[in-house]
Amino acid sequence: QTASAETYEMRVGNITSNDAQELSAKMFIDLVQKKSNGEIKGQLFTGGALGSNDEVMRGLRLGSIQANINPTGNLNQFVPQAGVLTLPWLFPGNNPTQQIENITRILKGQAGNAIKTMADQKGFHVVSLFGLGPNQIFLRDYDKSKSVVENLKGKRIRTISGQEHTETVNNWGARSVQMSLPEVYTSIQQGVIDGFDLPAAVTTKLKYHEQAPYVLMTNHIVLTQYIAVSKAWYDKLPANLKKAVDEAGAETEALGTDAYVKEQNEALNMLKTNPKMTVVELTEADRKALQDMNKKGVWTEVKKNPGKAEMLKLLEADVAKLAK
Amino acid sequence: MITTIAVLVLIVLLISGFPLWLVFIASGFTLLTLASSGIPPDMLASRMFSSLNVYALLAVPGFIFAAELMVRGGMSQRLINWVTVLLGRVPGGVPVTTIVASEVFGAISGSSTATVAGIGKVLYPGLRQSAYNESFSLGLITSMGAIAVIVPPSITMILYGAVASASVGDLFLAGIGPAILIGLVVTLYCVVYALTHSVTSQQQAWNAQEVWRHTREAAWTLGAPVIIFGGIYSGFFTPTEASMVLSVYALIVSTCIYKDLPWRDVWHVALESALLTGKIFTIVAAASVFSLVLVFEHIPEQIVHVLTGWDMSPLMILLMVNVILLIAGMFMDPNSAIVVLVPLLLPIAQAAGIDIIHFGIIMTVNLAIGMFTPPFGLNLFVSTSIFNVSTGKVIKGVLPFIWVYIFALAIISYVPEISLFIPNLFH
Amino acid sequence: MQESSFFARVDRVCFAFLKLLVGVSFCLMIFSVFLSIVMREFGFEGFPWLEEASQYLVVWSVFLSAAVLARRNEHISIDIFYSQSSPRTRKIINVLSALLGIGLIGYLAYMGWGFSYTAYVFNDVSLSGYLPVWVAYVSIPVGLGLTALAYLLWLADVLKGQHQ
Ligand code: NA
Ligand code: NA
Repeated sequence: QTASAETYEMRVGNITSNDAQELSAKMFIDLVQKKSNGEIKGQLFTGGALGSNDEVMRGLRLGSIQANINPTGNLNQFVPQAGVLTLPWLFPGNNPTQQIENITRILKGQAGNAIKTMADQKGFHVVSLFGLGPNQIFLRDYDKSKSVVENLKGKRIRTISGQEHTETVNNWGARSVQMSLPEVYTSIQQGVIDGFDLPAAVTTKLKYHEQAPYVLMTNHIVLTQYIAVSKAWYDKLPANLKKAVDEAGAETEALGTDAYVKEQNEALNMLKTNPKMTVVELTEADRKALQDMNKKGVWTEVKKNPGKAEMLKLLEADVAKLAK
Repeated sequence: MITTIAVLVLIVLLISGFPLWLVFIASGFTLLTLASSGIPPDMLASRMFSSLNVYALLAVPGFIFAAELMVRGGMSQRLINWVTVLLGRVPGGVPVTTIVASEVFGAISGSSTATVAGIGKVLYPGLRQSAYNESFSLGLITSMGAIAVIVPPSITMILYGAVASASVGDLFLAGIGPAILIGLVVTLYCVVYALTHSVTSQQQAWNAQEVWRHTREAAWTLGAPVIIFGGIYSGFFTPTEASMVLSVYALIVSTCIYKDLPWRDVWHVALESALLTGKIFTIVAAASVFSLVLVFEHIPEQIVHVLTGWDMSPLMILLMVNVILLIAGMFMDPNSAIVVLVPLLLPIAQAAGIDIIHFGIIMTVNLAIGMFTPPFGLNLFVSTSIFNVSTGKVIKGVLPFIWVYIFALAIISYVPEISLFIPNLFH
Repeated sequence: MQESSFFARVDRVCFAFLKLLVGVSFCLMIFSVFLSIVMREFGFEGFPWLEEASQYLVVWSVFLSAAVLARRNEHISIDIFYSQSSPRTRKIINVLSALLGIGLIGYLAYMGWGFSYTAYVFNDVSLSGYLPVWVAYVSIPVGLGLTALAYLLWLADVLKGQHQ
C-alpha cells in the first residue's frame, strides 16, 4: 500500500450469515482489495448488522454504505421491472446446477444490461448479477394418493411479498400468505401455514425443514443475486478504482455461481438423505400443469405492466439466444 | 476513549432525568461526532423508521390494548377475585400465580414486553390487594416478563439458530428446562419473601361455594387463554396475530357481556394504549440509533477482544461470556446483541468445548436478564408506563430479582444437562 | 392578552387533532391485522400489502404520539435524581431537555425529510410492490417535526413557569 494514495472505505451490508451469500460478499471484497492494490478497504457487516435491506439500500444512495448483496427480489422496490426475474418457469434448466449457471449467462445479455441502467438511475451501480438457486415448495402434510396439483389446492403457503411470488402460488389454487421469515418456523409448526416457498439452502440453514418434511421439487422460481455499489461513492472513485470495482463484480459472478451451485446441491443432498424428509419429484405432467396455470395467470398479469412487458421481451430474447 | 465519553454522556444525562429517548439519541450523536466514522445523520433517521417497521413488534401494542381493555372492562378484576379466593391463603400464592401465568403467556407471545403488559396489567392489582408492596410487585412482574424469551417459542432463539446454524427445534426444547428452573428459583424467593415479610391475606377460609361463584363470574376471562392457546396451537393465527384477536375478544366481552366498559370509553382506552405504545417504541427507536453507531464503530468487537484476549479455562470463559452478555444486555436489545455477538463469541465458546445449543441457551438467558437491567431494559420502561410509576421505583423493585436470575443463570451455565436433557431425549 | 389566548386555543385544537390521528392510526392498525386473519381463515385471498400497511400504521402512530408525549413531557425518564432535586435544578434540566429535543429531534426530522423526498422522487415501492414507501417514511419528518415543535411549546411553558 502506497503512503501517498488515498484509501477508500467500502462497507458492505449483508443480511444473512454463514452461507454462500456471505461467501460471495467476502469474495467480492477480496477481489476489490486485490485489484485496487489495497486502495479500497472493504469491511463486511454480516447478519443484518447495518439494518434491513431497504435501510442498507438507502445507505447506498447516501453513500454511507458502499455495497450490498441480496436476492433481486429486494431490488424490485427500486427497479420494479427487475420483478420479472422472479417469474416462475422463466430460466431454462432441469436442475439447480443448470438453472443457476444459465441465469448467470443469460443476465450478461440485454435484459441484465437494462436492469443495470435502470438501477443506475435510482442511485445504484449494479456490478454483479448471478444465479442464486431455485425455490422448492416445502409442506407440512402431503397425501401420496393424490397428485401434486391436488395436494397444493387450498394450502396456505408463505411466500415473500411481490406480485410474481404471491400470484404464482395463488394460480395453483393454493393461497399465498405473507409473513416475516423469523415467524415461519413456529407458524408452520403450529399449522398457521401449511407450507412455504424457499430455496433448499435457505431452508436447511434455518432448519425450517424440521417442521416441513415434504419437499416438492418444483424448481419453479429461480432467484437471482445482485451486488450493488453506491453510485454516489462509485462516481467519486478515480478511473482505475472504478475499473477495479467493476472487474471484481464481474469475477464474483463466476465464483458466486459456483458457490451457490455447491450450496444448493449440498442442501438437496442433505434433504434427500435425511430419513425424516420425503422428497417428491414432479412428473412431466405435474410440471406442465403448474406451468400452464402460471402462464395463464401471473405471466399474463405481469405483461399488463408495460415496463415489465418490455423487460420480459428482452429476457426471453436472451433466453432464446442461450438455447442456440 | 471515545466509547467512554459516549457512555459517560449517556449515564450523566440518564441520571439527571432527561427523557430516555433523547439520551440515547444524544449519546449516539456524541459517539458519531467524536468518531467521525462517516455515517450520515440521514441514516440515523432512517434507522428510527426501520427499527419500528417490524411485524413481530405489533404484538406489543396488541397485548397492551388487550390488557387495558381487560382492566377497564372488569375482566381482570374478576380473574383476580378468582385467583385470590383460590390461592389467597397460600404463602406466595398470588406471586406464584404471576410466575405461572408469565411462563404460560411467554409460551404464547414470545415477547418479553408483551408479557409484562399483558400479565402485569392484569395481575398487578391482585398482588397489591394481597398486601405485597409496590416494590416487590413491580419487581416480580417486570422480571418475570423476561421468561417469554426463554420459554419456547422465542424469536431470540430463532435468530440465534440462524446466525449460529443451530437447530431451532433443539433450542426450543433446550429452553424448557431453564424456564422451569427459573420459575422454581423465583417461586422459592417469593415464598421465602411472603413468609419472612409475613404477607398475610385477609381472605376468609376456603369455601367451595365462593370458589364456584367466582369461577362462574371469571369464566369469560378464563376463556381468553383458551381462545389464544387453542387458536395458536390449532393453527388459526400466529402469536403476533393472537394479540389482536385477544383485543377484539376483550372488547366484545367488556362492552357486550360484562358491560363494564361503555362504548364511549373504548376510544379513550385505544388512545391511552397508543400513547403507552408510543412511550415504549420511541425508546426502542432511539436505542436502535445508539446501537447502529456502536456497530458501525465496531465497539462490541473491541470490547470482546479485550475481554477474551487472555488464556482462560472453560469455566472462566463461561463467566467472561456471561459478564460480556450482561453488559451488552444493559445497552442493547436482544436481537441486535445476537446478530453482533454470536459471530464473535461462538468460536470462543466452541473452542472451549461448550455445546452450541447450550451456548444458545446461555445467551438467551443472559439477554433475557438484560430486558430488565438498567439503564436500557425495555421491561423497565413498559412497567413504568403501564403502572404509571417512576422508573426509580421499578428499578428498585427489580434489583433483588436480578440477583435471583443471576443465581439461576449460574446454575444454567455450569450445569449443561438442565438445558440439554430434554433435547437429548429426542435424539 | 387577546393574542396569547388565541394561541392557546390553536395549541389546544391542534393538540386534540394530533391525539385523534394517533388514536385513529392505532385503531386502524389493530383492525388491519384482525382483517388479515379473518380473510385468511375464511378463504379469501388476502391483500398482499395489508401486513405492510399494519406496520406502517404503527410507525405513524408512534411518531405522532412522540409529539403528544413531548408536549406534555410524558416521555419516560429515570427520575431518581430529578425527584429529589430543587425546583431550580428541575427547571434547568427541563430547559436543557427541551433544547435537546428541539435540536436533535428537529435535526432528525430534517434528515428524514431528505430520504422521504428521495423515495418519493424515485417512486420507491414497498416489498409487495403495492405501496409507495414515502407514505410511510414521511412519518419521520412529520412526526419528529411536530415533536420538535412540541418541545418548543413545552419550553415556552417551562420558561413561563407553567410546569414544575
Ligand atoms: Na416464548
Ligand atoms: Na438491560
